[in-house]
Amino acid sequence: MDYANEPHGVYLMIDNKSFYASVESVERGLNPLQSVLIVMSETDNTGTGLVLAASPKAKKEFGIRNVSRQYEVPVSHDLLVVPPRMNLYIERNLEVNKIFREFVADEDCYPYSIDESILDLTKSWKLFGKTPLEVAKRIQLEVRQRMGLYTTVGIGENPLQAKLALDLFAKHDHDLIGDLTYESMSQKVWQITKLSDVWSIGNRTEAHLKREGIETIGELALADPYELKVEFGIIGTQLYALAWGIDRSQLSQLVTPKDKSWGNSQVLPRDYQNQDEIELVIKEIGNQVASRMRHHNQMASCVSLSIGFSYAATVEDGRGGFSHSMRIEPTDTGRDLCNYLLGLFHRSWTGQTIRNIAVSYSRLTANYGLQLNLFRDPNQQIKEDLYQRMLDKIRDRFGQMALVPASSLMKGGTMLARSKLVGGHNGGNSFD
Amino acid sequence: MEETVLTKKVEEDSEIILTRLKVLFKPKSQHRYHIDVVNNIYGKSYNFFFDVYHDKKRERSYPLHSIFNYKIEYLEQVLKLVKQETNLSMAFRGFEGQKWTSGKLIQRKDTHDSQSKG
Repeated sequence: MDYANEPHGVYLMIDNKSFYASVESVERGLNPLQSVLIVMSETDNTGTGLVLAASPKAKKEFGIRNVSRQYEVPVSHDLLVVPPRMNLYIERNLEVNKIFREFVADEDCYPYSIDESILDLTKSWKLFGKTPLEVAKRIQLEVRQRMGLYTTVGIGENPLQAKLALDLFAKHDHDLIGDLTYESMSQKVWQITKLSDVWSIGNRTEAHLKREGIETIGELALADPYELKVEFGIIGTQLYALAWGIDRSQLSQLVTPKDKSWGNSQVLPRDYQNQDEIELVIKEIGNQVASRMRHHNQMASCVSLSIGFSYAATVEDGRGGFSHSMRIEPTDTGRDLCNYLLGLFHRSWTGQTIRNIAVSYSRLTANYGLQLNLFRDPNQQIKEDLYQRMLDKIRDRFGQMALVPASSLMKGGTMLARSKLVGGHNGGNSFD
Repeated sequence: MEETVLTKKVEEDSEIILTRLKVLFKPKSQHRYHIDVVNNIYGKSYNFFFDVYHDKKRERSYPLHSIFNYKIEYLEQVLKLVKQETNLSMAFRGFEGQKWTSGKLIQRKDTHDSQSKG
């Protein structure tokens, strides 16, 4: 393979080791690598509890994985269980990224998730060390000394190689650093047989590749790219590039999605079968998403509703749920949007118990003012519009919970309980 | 004037700790309870946690509050008010070598898994 025309940069993919558990350890004056600690979310919708993060020692000594269920976690007084504080983790993530930005220009630091960032050090690494490895070690030391946290670093000539180096090698390396280059791809990555260990290959793709007789990344690299394209579509060419460590993405050129949408989904705290209760939650989500959309001065021309059945209903029905969309006259009115959602719900629901609800509004257009409907009383329409905008204003000023429909106090409503959560989990104490 | 403001702050901080403690502390038999007071050398804060221990259960630790006035004298004042309202024992971590204003050591020995810089 001729790599001469491929981008050759210096990229670091940095991951905070067991981030939530490490932050909680540091807050308690414990060493993140020595503590035996798990962060467990015990909100209603996690059932009996869900492990959001486990310290490296808790993983090793008790075999706990992230997303383990409460009942899978051994009962031992050696295990320290702490509640999540999502706001604190967001704060710490911002602090870590601030340290990263001492090594790169702001526009070369890309937060990838709450505990991972990509740094494009191509232009700046020489200011901080003789080799990229030396710079990586220096960044690790800075974060460790200033925040008490351990970081894992993948180094590559492009973002893909950095990510692969992080996932495949750094996590098992004594210094928590791994590196990959175009040249070392064949020697380090090609022999991998568990294809789903490699970023972007899931279980289904792995099975599909195996059906095609591809057992290793090396075999994928040596496969015919045209045949891969025929078999896998565009993903086939991406897989081929992956095997050769090729990534032509320019991080500075932001990808704007073709069709943006607003949405929200919820796992319900228990199985819901009562129609009134289900409708109440659909309306709560529908109104909340509508309010977000109005904030951006947009209207939707398409509403979508996805319903996930409970485990028992899935077995009985044979389907996991249903998902429907419909085109509508552009609107940003919560009541209208909710009515469409309820219409979609009534059309397909036949009494199954449900556990998931997802709502989204798409085909967005800018809102240039109220479009009056010729067939309805114009004064009434104007009044409704003003009323809705007033509600938004009050909530902007005094918080989302300043005005709550009385219906949310009824059995089944989830809005009040969820208002205190961040990303579905406990945000932590206020006033700290 | 400045002193009044400070006293008010001390009262507020101890009040937050005690209010949260009240919600969490439900005495049960066979359980051991204490308050962890941690010197967070990185965040420059004193953190308070409520710890629940049972020999046959998982240990639990709940955050109570963080104090960002990073002075031993201030911490001492907050603790004084907290101790007036609760008899729970306190465990100190991260205070190696530091002393109270009276000259007494805050924490005797370093625990094996505690933080050290570097």
